[in-house]
Amino acid sequence: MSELHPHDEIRSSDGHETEILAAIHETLGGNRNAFRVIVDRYSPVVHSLCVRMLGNRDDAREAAQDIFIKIFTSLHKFKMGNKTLPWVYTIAINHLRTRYKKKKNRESAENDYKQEQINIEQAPALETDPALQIIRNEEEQLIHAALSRISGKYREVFVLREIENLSVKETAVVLKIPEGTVKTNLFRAKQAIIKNIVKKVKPDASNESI
Amino acid sequence: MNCTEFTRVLDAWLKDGNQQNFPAVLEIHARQCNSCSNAYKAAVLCTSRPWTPVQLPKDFTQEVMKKLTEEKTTGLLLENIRTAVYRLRKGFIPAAIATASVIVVLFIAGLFKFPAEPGKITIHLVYEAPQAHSVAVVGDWNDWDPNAHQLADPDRDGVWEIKLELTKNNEYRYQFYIDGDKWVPDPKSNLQVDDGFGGKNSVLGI
Ligand SMILES: [Zn+2]
Repeated sequence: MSELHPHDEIRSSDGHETEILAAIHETLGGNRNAFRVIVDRYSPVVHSLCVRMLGNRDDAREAAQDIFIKIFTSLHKFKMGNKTLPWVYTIAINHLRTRYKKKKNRESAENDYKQEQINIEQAPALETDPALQIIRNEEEQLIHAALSRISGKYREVFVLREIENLSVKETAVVLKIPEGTVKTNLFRAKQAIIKNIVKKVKPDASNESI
Repeated sequence: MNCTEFTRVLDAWLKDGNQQNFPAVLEIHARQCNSCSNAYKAAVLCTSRPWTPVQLPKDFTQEVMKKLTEEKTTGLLLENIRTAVYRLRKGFIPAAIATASVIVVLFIAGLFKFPAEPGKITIHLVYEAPQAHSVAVVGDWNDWDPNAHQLADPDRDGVWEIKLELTKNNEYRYQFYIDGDKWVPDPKSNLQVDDGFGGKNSVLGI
């Protein structure tokens, strides 16, 4: 279980950190092109986070781009001496929250109406979305589908901690919640996901009990 | 083990957050019990790592860089740069990225006015800094863009110069921007005002 996470390389190298700090400094000095280094370094984690959180490739791509614009215009707020990755994640999460709220508001009218008619046996939109062709593993798709149905605060903590492999401490920093809350919410997230999958796999069970 | 116990042990394990040693009793019960087997499979799924990496769209960086030039980030960033530069000047730069050595810049700057087309006036800005590698002037007329108006020193006498055509009957605030690093007011200007970032802007009324 101690396999290397794909993002570990991005996370742990001091040499990379120095490179990023230099790029921040240079960008702030007026060399916009230096920002490229920051995008190159962090686009895999930011984009991955967006795909996991939004479950849609087009949305994720646009969101990830917007997050980098946000990072660009926030560079001056970065406190030298802090780690850059948690800072990037914080900006990303804040952006995704806003985006999610907007999306929810936009869709709520039609969805509220449709919700009651949705047959649980029907594949949810997320699973038929071409976005998930990039997540080839069918089992992972099942979790992704479940993720889209649980509350945002549980989804965040699950994605950061379980999928993106942040430590409990890092997750707490990014989400600005105590470490204890990270653990509690992670537990509830897993419970919710399991419930969702079970319900989905056995659609008749819920009907019978009514 | 019955189903209630299964749920209790499963929850305890999930709560523990321990990714290893999935309790064997759970698997034994799950094999015998249809209603728990799906929960068991789901639990294994959502605690298995690592996840398949998501493929980054091609040309992602390129698209971001393009978007940066399209979006109205420039003005915003430049205001931000000024804040940051002042913060950096106060010593926030780690040694690893501190640029070069401290350069003592001796400067004499002056303002000369030349006739131009009606409503316009040509300003000749001069700034003496023999050891500087680049000098830009940033101000209200170029939205504080350090790339907009670079001073030149073609004869390498340490005197950097630029001519600018500005609209008359205006008051402009400006600073020199040295080596992409230091913001300084024009030492020869008569009026300097606080720039809100701990430094001074020079004021030019024409
Ligand atoms: Zn059972």
